[in-house]
Amino acid sequence: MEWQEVLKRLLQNKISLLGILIILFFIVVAVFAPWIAPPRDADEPYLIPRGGWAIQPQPPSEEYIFGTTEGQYDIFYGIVWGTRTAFRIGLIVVGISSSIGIIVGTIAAYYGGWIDEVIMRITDVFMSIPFIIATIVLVTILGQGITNVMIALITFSWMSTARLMRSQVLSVKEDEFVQAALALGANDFRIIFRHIILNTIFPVVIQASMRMGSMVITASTLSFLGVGAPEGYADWGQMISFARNWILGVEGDPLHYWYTLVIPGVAITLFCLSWNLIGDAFRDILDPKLN
Amino acid sequence: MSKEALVEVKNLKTYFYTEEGVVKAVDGVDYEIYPGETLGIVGESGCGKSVTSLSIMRLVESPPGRIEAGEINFQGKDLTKLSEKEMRKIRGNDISMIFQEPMTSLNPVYTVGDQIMEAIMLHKGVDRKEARRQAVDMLQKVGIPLPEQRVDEYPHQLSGGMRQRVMIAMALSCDPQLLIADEPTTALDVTIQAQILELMNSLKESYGMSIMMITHDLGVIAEVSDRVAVMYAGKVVEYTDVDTLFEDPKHPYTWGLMNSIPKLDKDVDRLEAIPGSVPSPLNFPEGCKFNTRCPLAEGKCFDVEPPLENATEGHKVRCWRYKDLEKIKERGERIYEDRGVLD
Amino acid sequence: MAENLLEVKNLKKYFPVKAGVFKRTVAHVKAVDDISFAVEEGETLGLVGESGCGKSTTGRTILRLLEATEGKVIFDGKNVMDLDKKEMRAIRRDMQIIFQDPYASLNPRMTVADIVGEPLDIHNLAKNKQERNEKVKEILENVGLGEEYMNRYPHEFSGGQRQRIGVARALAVDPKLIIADEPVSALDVSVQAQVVNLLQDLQKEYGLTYLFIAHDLSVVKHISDRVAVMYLGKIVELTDKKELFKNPMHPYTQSLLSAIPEADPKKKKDRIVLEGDVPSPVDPPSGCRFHPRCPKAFEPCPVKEPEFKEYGDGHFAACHLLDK
Repeated sequence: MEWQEVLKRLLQNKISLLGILIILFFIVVAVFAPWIAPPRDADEPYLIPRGGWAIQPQPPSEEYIFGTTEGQYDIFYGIVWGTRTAFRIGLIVVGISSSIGIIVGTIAAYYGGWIDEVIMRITDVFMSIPFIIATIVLVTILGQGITNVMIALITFSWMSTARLMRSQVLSVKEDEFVQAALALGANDFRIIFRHIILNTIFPVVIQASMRMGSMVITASTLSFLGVGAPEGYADWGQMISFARNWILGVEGDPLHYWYTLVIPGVAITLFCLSWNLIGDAFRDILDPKLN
Repeated sequence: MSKEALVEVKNLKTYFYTEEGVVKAVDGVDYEIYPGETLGIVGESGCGKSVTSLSIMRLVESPPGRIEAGEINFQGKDLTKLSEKEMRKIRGNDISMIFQEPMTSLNPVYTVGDQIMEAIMLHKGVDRKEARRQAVDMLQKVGIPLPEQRVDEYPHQLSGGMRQRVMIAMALSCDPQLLIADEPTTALDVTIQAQILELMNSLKESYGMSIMMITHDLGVIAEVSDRVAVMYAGKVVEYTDVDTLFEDPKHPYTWGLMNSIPKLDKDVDRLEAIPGSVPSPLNFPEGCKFNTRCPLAEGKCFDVEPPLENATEGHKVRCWRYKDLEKIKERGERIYEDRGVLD
Repeated sequence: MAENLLEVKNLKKYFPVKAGVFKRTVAHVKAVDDISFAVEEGETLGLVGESGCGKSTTGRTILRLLEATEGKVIFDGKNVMDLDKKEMRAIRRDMQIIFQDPYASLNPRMTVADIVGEPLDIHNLAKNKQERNEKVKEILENVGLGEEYMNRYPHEFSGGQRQRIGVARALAVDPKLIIADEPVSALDVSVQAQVVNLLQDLQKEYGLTYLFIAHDLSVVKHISDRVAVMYLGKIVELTDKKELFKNPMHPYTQSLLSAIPEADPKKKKDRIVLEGDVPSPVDPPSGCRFHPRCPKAFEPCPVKEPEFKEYGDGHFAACHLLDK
């Protein structure tokens, strides 16, 4: 199946169409952020503007249409610019870790023997460390900040792609068309890129799409735990961490400060959901062929 | 034939409703199977030969498949009208089936004995001990050495030929009246194939059952069949007894099949190859379905589908021009002319 | 007598069987066990045998798609086993392979033009894109496919057409030897004849040499000049095809010939039905490997391996009966 065909089917499938529409919406928000929510300081657009220093969150008003968090950070501004942060984390982390996984998995499977043994044992070591704990430790060592969060996430998330790629390559490697290329005198480079990767990439793409959402959630978790984005940085996870003290509301009205939690929560949920919908649809489309 | 038919298939149509369109896998097929005879059904992939047998067993997956029309009369009942519950009583009991790949049709986590006993206990209502005795007995009958030991082995411990014997033992454990064999020897080596065919022929005699043998191999057909139906594109194109068919094939497709395979006792410089390939079932041609590949096709062949009619008594053929084929054969000419691509 | 294009001498290919935590080699599958034969320039040598006899492994070991355990493969005067990676890539221009499965042997993500053009790219046989296109068109025409197919993908073709594409790919480098590994056994009966005829036409046109591997004796008989019969990693008989079918010497060849069901219901054969199955190549029987199934086995068979030698005018066989 060619790419155009896959795309056509993605658009025909109602579920994936919904996912695509949500993502398109987020893309529009991210691209037009400077117009939707003009920054006060053009040099530091990711710093959420504050409407004062009062501790208690303020409900939606004309000036702050989504209200403010504790410390009077503008929720609307944080959501809009947080979209950019989410895309940045998702694309960079998934992009780089998937590339590492593809390279590592392909090399291990294609060359086999002791190379495979060594690479896969290293992969096992990385996999044996609990993901969240490992990233928290690494970010703590490297210091707070979005870049360090991404480095930590990449360091501990390439293994599943490597394993997936390895198993894919192992089966395709034995296919007769690869043997045919060998018999024609093709070198390793040509065989890997023209014959093997092209025929193994789809499952990795599906997996990458699914991981887009989960990486953003993990980054948010780190921010929520206080080791992620620096204070005041436009990041959905951080916005939820601002809500931590107000989740219970006031006596007799548990939903009193709903906006502090629900608004960033909805943003994260929609973002993850849309990538998962696309991933699911991808798999449904490609599955008959994978069989 | 004056005998009463055991199975009578009348105008059977089984269609599959797929995303790309309606696949008319079986499109109006008629044949009979008489008690104690072997009916061979021969054709290439996609001709509908397997779907006809699945239709008799009512094992066509639905959706997407559906028996559209027709009757399958077996012992006075129309199998197409039976409920699933009534059908279960017939399957494995009156009609059994064996498949091409014995490994995938046996359950790898049960011993072969368990699998044979299951069928016996289900249909005969005997206890475990008696079922086991019968299972060992069956393994003995299909020529498996040391049956008392083999009965407790798992399918993966047996070779391909042995597994096919186990499948046959399972199929015959309830004395069926009809055994449907769908390419039973295609996955086997020739020396093993010879063993299995010999076994089937001898069991047919001792059990007095009928066999429906589905295959693409004319050699196997010649070996075991009494009568033959040649199928092409969802239809029977020629239908007669085996000697007549091989002596005097009347349909150009049958003729082509016979002359496109090299023979051990006859040397030819060049095989007579049927040009082109089997048309897609989504896109069968108008008129005679063979017209895209038939060297004799002309005028009428492209517009009107020929009926399956008697060319001589008991020799049915679906072709407008079988008499012309006769003349070419009398002149000793080749029908499929040489179209070397390099000329 | 023509020159030998290919000489295989004492070729062995053992696959290790590994087990345990440390993946120790506990046994060997002796897929090909000391076979020798030669293929003359311009002839077709048929290599026939049942599944697991090592015929496909032989083909792939000759091409070094599998590394041999022992032995020599002399092609065009050079021992292929001694060549380094670069020399090997160069010599692949002269020896090509056609695979059995027309579905698995074509990359599903490449167009026909790219599949057939790839060998031209690898060996720099086309100066520019236009020349490449011209050449691909010409090769496709030679196998009976028009240029309208060039930009399509393999899944749009039938089995027979795909096999033609596979033949075109092998032909693109203008090879001397083509190893055809069961090239028609996955095809529909009516299409098999097309591909067989095509292979014969191409042989005449380009003076090709074929090593034709198959399990179907009747096809092998039709296309070959000489035939070698393999059983459990060994060649048991090798001779001119007419001689083989008229006067088979080895009991295995005899039973193989008699086992083929013939498309003639009137002919009731005196069949030699072999008992039992092919034994495992991990632990092949002692002496003559065929002796447990052989209807004519006698005293020396289980203890002494028969020598593969000539019994008159190029008729080779390995059987104790012939020395009796």
